[in-house]
Amino acid sequence: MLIVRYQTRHIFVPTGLLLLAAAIGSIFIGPLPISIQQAIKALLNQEVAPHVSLVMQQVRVPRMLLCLAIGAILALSGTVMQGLFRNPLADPGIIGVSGGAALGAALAIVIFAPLAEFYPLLLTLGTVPVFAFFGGSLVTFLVYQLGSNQHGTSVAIMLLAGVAISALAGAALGLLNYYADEQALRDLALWSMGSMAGATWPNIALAWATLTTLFVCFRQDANKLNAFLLGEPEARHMGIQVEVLKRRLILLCAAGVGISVSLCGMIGFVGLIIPHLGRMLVGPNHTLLLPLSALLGGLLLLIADTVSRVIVAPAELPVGIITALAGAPFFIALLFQQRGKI
Amino acid sequence: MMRAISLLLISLVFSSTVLANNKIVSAGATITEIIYALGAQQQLVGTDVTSSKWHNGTLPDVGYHRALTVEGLLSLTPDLLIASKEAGPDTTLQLLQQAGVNVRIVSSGNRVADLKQRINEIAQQTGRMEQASNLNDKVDALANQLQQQTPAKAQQQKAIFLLLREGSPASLAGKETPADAIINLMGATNPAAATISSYKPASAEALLAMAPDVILVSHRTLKALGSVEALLAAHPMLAATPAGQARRVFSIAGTSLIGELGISSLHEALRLNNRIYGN
Repeated sequence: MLIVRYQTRHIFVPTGLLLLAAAIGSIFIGPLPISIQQAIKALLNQEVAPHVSLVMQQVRVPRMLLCLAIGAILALSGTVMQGLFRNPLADPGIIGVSGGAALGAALAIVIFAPLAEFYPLLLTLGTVPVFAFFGGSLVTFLVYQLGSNQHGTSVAIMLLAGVAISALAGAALGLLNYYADEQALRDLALWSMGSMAGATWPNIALAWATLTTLFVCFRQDANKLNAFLLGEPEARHMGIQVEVLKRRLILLCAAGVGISVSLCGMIGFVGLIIPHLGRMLVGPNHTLLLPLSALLGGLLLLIADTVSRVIVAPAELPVGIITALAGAPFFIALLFQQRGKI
Repeated sequence: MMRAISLLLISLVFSSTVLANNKIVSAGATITEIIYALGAQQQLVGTDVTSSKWHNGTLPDVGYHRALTVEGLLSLTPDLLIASKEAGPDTTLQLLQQAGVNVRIVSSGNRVADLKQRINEIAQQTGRMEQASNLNDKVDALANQLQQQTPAKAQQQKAIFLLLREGSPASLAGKETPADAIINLMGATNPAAATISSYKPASAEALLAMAPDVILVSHRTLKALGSVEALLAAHPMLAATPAGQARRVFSIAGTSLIGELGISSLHEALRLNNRIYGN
């Protein structure tokens, strides 16, 4: 027990320090050259040039906070999905949450964009995030209903239903692409690659509230998730109400992913690779894996977003491209290393 | 008295140099074109991605005009952002204004009157009113010449613009596109404008049913395929149209098709008018 704790400390402390360094680094790095003294003054609300304080207070700090929360939400949801489905490939995309959210957002972009000229309030109220959230929730509900019968919920059928509904959402997206004008097409394309540019304080509050809720709930179920790794019947025989647990966890994941998709668009690979990385570092015990995943998810997204802000400055690369560019080769290397083990 | 006049003169000179020393970011291909046509390009410190044609990458690129970033733009320390109606997102524009950047949205539209309006608005922002009246005279002259060279309705040819890309179906330009405006200005009718707006994939049968007398493609498409013969061989359904049989396939400069109707669009319309009606 002592040995395990010793190892754990050696992983959590450096990760935490790395995250802190990345967070501080991200608010001092950007396309606008700001000296460290100026940056600190702007953070302390002292007298600096108005554009410097605006960039620090309304761009860099909000984005850092949003990245931490969204990265952690995506990684936590991915970890829980992989544990629940006992499938190393499960991520929120696989049960169709992302597809449904994408369809909702696309509907809002294509249908409401032409109306925005006459009803600017429609867009300021954020039709796209609201539609994305409802799209994601609706698909999760459908997939869950398809996978359930009087005997319980079949994980295999849920996965298949997720694939089928994702395909359906993809077809509907294609149809919308056909009817969209050029503007809406570009908006759709950009949205599907993710961006942290929507970092406003209400959005950040929503993201952190979601993260706190998810983390507290998931932490309470961590031991039940560990039991789940043995198999669903085994978990039931240990006295766990598996149906209640599955429903609760799936709905929480759907809410988390739906909210993150609605705030930042589609950001891939965080929910897929972070749980694997976490398991490599601390093993499959969810009481440790969940907090570590949250830290690593925030770290990955924060670094990716900093790169996205700087690499093609003064323009900005969609952050989803960077997470995929960094994530996919990493994942392939992981697969090579673990060939035959999974 | 002399003192007052000289003071007035000095202040006038000073105010015009203030205007001429703007640091401008242009977010829209048509806007950048007008800034260059007014000779105000010294004031530019950055443009959006569609404007790179005019400066060959010598100015910083602020990305797609729908996805402008606050910090990226501010890093160019501009005083003025001239943008099209589509530019955004709104939060970025609001924050830029808060940071003291003057954000100006120019009027939109694909008519000649809209173009002249845009020229006037941009001239006001760049302090180039004199150049603007010259430019507007040129625009009027071009538009008048085009109008005179437009045949009577019955003699007008049917022209379509096709966006041909390797591996995807041909896209047809409908109404509300610069291509449609060019077709009308050059004295032809666009049969696609009756049924579609923006760019839509076109089926072979629909193309045949439209029976265009003239097919327009972009310079880039024609260059990639090498010749009109090669283009017709690669797209057999085009060879069967009246335009294909008469080998009346012409190319348009891509720059005149991006954004909204611009000055180069008028030049292209006149060039094509001469080609088609043999003036």
